[in-house]
Parts: sequence; C-alpha cells; structure tokens
Amino acid sequence: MYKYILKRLAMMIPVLLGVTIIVFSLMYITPGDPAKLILGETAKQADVDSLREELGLNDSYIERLGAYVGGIVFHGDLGTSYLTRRPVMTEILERFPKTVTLALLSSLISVGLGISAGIISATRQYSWFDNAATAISLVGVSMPNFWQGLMGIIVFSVWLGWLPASGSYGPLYWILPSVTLGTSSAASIMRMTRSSMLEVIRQDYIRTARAKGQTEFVVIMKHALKNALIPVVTVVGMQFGFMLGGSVLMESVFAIPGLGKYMIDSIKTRDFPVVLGSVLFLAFVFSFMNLLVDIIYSFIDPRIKSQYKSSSKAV
Amino acid sequence: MKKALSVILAIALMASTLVACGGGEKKPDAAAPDGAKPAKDVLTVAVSAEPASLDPLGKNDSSSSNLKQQIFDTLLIADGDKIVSGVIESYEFKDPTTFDMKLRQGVKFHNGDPLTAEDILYSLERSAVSEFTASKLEMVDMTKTKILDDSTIEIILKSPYPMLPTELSLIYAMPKKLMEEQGEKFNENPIGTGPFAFSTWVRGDRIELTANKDYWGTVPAFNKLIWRAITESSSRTIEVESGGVDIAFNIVPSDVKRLEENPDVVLNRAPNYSTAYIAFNNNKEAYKDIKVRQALSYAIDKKAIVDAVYSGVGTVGTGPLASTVWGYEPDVKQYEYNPEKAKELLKEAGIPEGFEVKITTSDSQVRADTAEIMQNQLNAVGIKSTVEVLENSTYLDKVVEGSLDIFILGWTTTSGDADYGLQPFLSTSPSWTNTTFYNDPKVDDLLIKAKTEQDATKRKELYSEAQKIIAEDAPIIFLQQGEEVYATRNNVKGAKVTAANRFFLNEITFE
Repeated sequence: MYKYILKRLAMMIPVLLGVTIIVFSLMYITPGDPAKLILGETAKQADVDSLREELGLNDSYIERLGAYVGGIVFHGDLGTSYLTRRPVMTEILERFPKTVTLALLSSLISVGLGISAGIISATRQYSWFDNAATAISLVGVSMPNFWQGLMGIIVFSVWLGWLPASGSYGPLYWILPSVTLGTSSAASIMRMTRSSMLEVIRQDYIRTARAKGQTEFVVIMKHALKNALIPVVTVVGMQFGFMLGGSVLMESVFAIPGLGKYMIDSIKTRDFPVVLGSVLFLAFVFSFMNLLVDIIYSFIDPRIKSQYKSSSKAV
Repeated sequence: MKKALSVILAIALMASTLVACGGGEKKPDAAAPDGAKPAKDVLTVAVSAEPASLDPLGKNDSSSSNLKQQIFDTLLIADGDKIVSGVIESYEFKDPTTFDMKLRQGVKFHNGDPLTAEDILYSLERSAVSEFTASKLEMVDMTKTKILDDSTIEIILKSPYPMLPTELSLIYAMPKKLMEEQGEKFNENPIGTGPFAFSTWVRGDRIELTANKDYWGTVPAFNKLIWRAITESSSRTIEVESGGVDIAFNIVPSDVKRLEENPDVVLNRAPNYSTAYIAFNNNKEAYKDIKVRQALSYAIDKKAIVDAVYSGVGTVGTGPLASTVWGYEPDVKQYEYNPEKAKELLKEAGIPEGFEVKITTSDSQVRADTAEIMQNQLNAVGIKSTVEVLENSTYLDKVVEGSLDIFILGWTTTSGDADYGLQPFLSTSPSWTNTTFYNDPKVDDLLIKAKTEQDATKRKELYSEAQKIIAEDAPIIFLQQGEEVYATRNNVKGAKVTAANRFFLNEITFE
C-alpha cells in the first residue's frame, strides 16, 4: 500500500513538468504585452521598453523556460509577480485557505444533502419525495451558480437583512456562498447516489440480507450504501477538486479573495509567473486529491485494496 | 488498525486546514447590517479593483493611486483645474527653467519623523528614474536640482515646462531614511504623511488604515478606513444598498437607475478627465479621405449610444478633450447625427455605394454594446459593417500593431492638462499611444509650441487651434465624456471626487 502511494507520488513529477511546459508555452504564445498592461493604456514607449527589460520579457523562449524550471527545481521558487513584485508562493498561500474553506463547507453541504436525499429517493422510488427531489435537483443542476448567488444576496441581505452580502470575515459570511455552491453540487451527488443505490438494492445479496431478518435500516446503511458509494466518491472527489481550483464565479460574486479569482485576474493582466505558479500549484493539489480518492476506494472496497497490494508487489 | 489511523490522519488534516482558515480571522467592524454602533468610527469604501502595490514609485493606475493618495501626500494637489498647495506650500517660476518651492512646516510622517527638504529631493530623484513616474519629470534636470535651505528646493528644468506644477501633483512625498533602510520591504508597510496611516492588507480582500491625528490638513473625523476591493459590480452596488459599505465607487451604468431610486443611498456624479472615442486606423487607404472620416462622424448617433449604453452616464463628446481638462475648447466643428449628410459626403468621396468595415472592440460590455449599435447606424448609411469582440490584452496588441479597421477606445488625460490630452494621443510622437496613426504636421507644431509656452493665455490659444484642426479632420469620433459615478449611504456627508479621480476621504463626516 505505502509503496503504491510512493509510486503514485513519484508519477506526479512528470505530470507537473508536463503541465509547466504546456502552460508556459501557452502563456508565451498568448498575445498581450505584460509591460503595457502593467503600465496602462497611456504609458510611454520608453517606459514600456525599460519594464520589459526589467521583467526579462526580451529573453528567448528557451532562456525563460529554463530560468523558470531552474528556479523551481533548485530554489523551490515559483517566481515573483510582475504586478505586485511579491513572491508568487506567498500570494498563493495567502489566498488558498479561503478557497479551501469554501470548498470544504460546500462539500459538507453537498455530501450531506446529496447522499441522504439520494438514499431516500432510491429506497422510496417513484414516491412523492423521489419525484420532488429529482425535480429539485434538476433545477439545481440547471441553475447557474452566480445567478443563484445574486438571488440569495438580494433576498437574504438586501430584503431581509439577515446575512452579509459579501466578504469573508466570519461564520455568517460563509453561509450564502457555501450554501449556493453546495446545493448546486448536491444535485449531481444526489442523482448519482440514487442511480447507484437503485442498482445495488436489486442485487441478490441484499435480498439475502433481508431474508436473514436484518432491519431495513441496517440493510440499506450497512450492506447497500457501502457498495453504492464507489461512483459517488468519484463524483465527490472530482467536485472537491474543481472547487479547490477555485469557484471563480462564487469568489467574484461574494468578494472572497480566493485562488480561482486571483488566477483569472492574473490571466487578464498577463501576470505570467502568477498564472504558471497557480496552475502548477493546483495541478499538484488535484493530483493529490485523485490519490486520496483512490485511497478512499480501498477502504470502501477491500477488493481494490488487494489490487493495490499486488500492483505494488509487481514494482 | 491501519484503517483507523488513516481515518484519524485524514480528519486531522481537514481539521487543521479549517483551523488555519478560520484562525485569526477578524471581522472588520464595518458598517455591517447588524452593527448598530453609537457613533460611526469606521468608514468602509468599496472599489472595483485592488491596488497593484502601495509602492509610491510603483504602478499608478487609478486603483493604486486612489489608495496611495490616502497614505502619501502629493507635492501639490490638483483640485479641478486648479493646482493647490500640498506639502509644498508655495512655489514660483523664478525664470522659465527655475522653479522654487517652499516646504510646508510641521508636516510629519506617520512614524513621527518630520518631512524635510532632503525627503522632497529624494522623492524627486527616485520618481525621475522609476518607469512608472519618470515621464512626468523628464523635463527636470536632476543633476542641477538642489536644496537651497531647510525649506526651499529649487528645480532646474532642461527647457521651459509650464506644466511642472501639474506633474508635481502626481509625485508623492516619501521618507528618504526609511526607504533607504528598508528597500523593497518599505512597500509592505508604507509610511507617508497622508491623512491615513497604513495598518494591514489582507490580499485580495481589504486594506485597513487608521486616521492620522497629526495630519496637517483636515484630520479625519473617524478612526478607521477600510478599503474593500469588490470586483463584481453588482456586489458593490448591493453592499452599499444593504449598508455593508458606506461608499461604493465605480458604479456601472446598468446599476445607476436602481441606486437613484433607493432612498437610503445618494448617487453622485463627478465629470472626470476620461473620454471614450471611436477610432479609425488613419493609415488605411479608406480613411485617408477627410470626407469619409467626416461621413462616419455624421453617421453615428452619439446621443443614442450615451443614452442606451452608458445609461446617461457622462455626456456626448464634443471634441478630443474632456471639458474638465485645462485648455478645452468648446467651439470646434460638431458632428450632429445626420445620416443624409453622411451619405452625401460618401457620394462626394466617390463611394456612394459605401464600403465594408470591421468594428473591433474589447470584451467590455459597454464597448461591445456600442459596437453593436454602431453597426446598425453604419449599415443605415450604406457602410456594411461586422463586429469582432476580442479579449482585452489581445485587443490592445492589435490596436497598437495597427492591424485594426475601426475600434473603440478611451483616453484619460490623467494630468488634467491639454498637453497630455493631445500630445501622446494625437501627435506624430513615436509612441504606441497614438493608436489612430493620426498625423498632421500643423497639429504637431502647435503642440510642441504650446508645451513650452510660458504665457497661459497664449498656451490656451495654441491648444484651441489644435483642437479646431483635429475636430475638422475628424480622425476619431468623439463619443462620450466620462463621469465617475459613486454611491454613498445617506448618512455620509462631504464625499468629493475630483476630475482627476482623487477622493478626499479625510473630509467625510457622518450624520
């Protein structure tokens, strides 16, 4: 098992290197001169030229890529932001906790709501609850997040005055953004749980469990749910990963200083080091999340664990 | 056992992240909806973008300079088209190239150090070599500029430059000793002489400042200033509606009506130095004929665009300069919407059947909407047009390389003086900022003469003449003159924004 994890961690190196080269090349060929964007539409040519020189923008592709990769490998340095002249890593670490908080809170909401509604829907198929939940989740999946967020702000902040409209200064501030984000991903988790549960509860071993006289609660929660969870964990893991990538729209609407919004702003200003650094950072987090999901599989399904064992022996 | 251990580890990891996120988080005691405080002690403002840095030598876009002007004093202050004293109390041109200025006595930095002539000289020296400010002082001969006595600094100019006081209204007074000692670190905790002292900066979110009780000007009536960056325009509007902030700046046209109708909020408008224009690439054969350019100017219903797209924010443009800029000339050729005249001019130009054009714009909603209305108006006079919307930096690149046909841009005369409003923008100077490639030797000549003319009346005349020629030539369509639109809660009194987009927040009181 541990060998397997180590092997997976080692495999991240070529992935990250590939990501670096691809993103670097994309940014390199993207039109837009950072120096002009930093100095503004009314800057003088001489000022633009001297800033270009200072930022090293006149160097060749290979020189710049080499310097960048070298900086990471030898100094663990993601570079300095063109715009703020501060280390990229500092900028990222200042914003990432907000993104993590939003992702965790909304995941709690989406998993709690999604899985419980999914179980009830599956066990009471075609009941009023099932129909209502399916309908609501369809609306949830289809409704754009930012619109839902703005409606929430208008109702709860402007009309009722119960919750603050934007910012991230305390528990109250997190309610609207995490509920907005959580409910919309709850919808897909609910639908996945429902279909997966429906498949499982029709299987023979469930009938056997019932025949043995187990209570319905134990049958569903212990025997059925565990086997139904594999596809659900995949969906949850992926959604959590995406949320870590920053829910750009939510961060904009609720003025949460997270990583996603920072990255988009940096693309607009062609702040190359920040874009590269953030993508690399997120690629790392994402690969790590994938690994975590795979490890969770092995706890849910012992068969997978034994596969990991045999595959690590083969190494 | 292993299983249990892993689960515990996972929970611990999650918990620690949560603690890390929640820990040390303090809610700013803003004008929160629930915050029923006896006396308002905090002013919370919302702006559309976070400053790039607080480096007094750094980027000087409006989101940075608006905040820097709270922390640092500029040497002089531009208030409308007047230059009033700042930390420099008085100044005079002893001769066209010698400029003496007297330092205000008793001005202190936030750390208690007095502001000295040494500091002023240092500020000039450093500003003269920073790429963000160098152009403002390019006429200053730094090698000869010196301190005459404890309170007098003499600036020597390379050649006569009457706009110097205006340029000095964009240069900050910086503490020499601190900046030399701290280097780059200074910008993390900047210290100036302004009405507010820097306290903390939560990146991407807010900056907190405390009132400078020793300020030489109006001492703020409250203790704390919270500066929030809320990029989403509707969220900014909602915050001021719900009382989450006291002032919201950069209100977008689409929110104007809603705020005007809200009894809790006052919507303020201040004409600024910005203009929006529709440009043709004057290098292209199609636009070489003045009749074609004038036809295009007649073909566009500017008022309809200002009403529909800008929701009435600002006014229809009347010439290359905004009316707030010093040297503005109202009496120039005007192009009232007249499609018949446009068709006639096209006929005279020998293209009665019109021609095909491509309108390119950045992805800003206002500009994209403008392009769409233009398309209809041009089609009405027989000019077949298509619209292309590009991402902003790609767009700017194409504008500069001169590959576009018709495009929409803006110009802000940041100095408030006709020189900056015309010279980099509509003269043949080798600059990327002449995006229309307009080239008229007579205009060039007038602008060069005006730049060094000492007599203000004569200078104004030169600029008037230049504006008349430009308007007649119609190298661009003068679309709109801008306004800064900002909303204040109705208990906020004394809010003021100058044409230079400077906020005097220290003068605000609460009712």
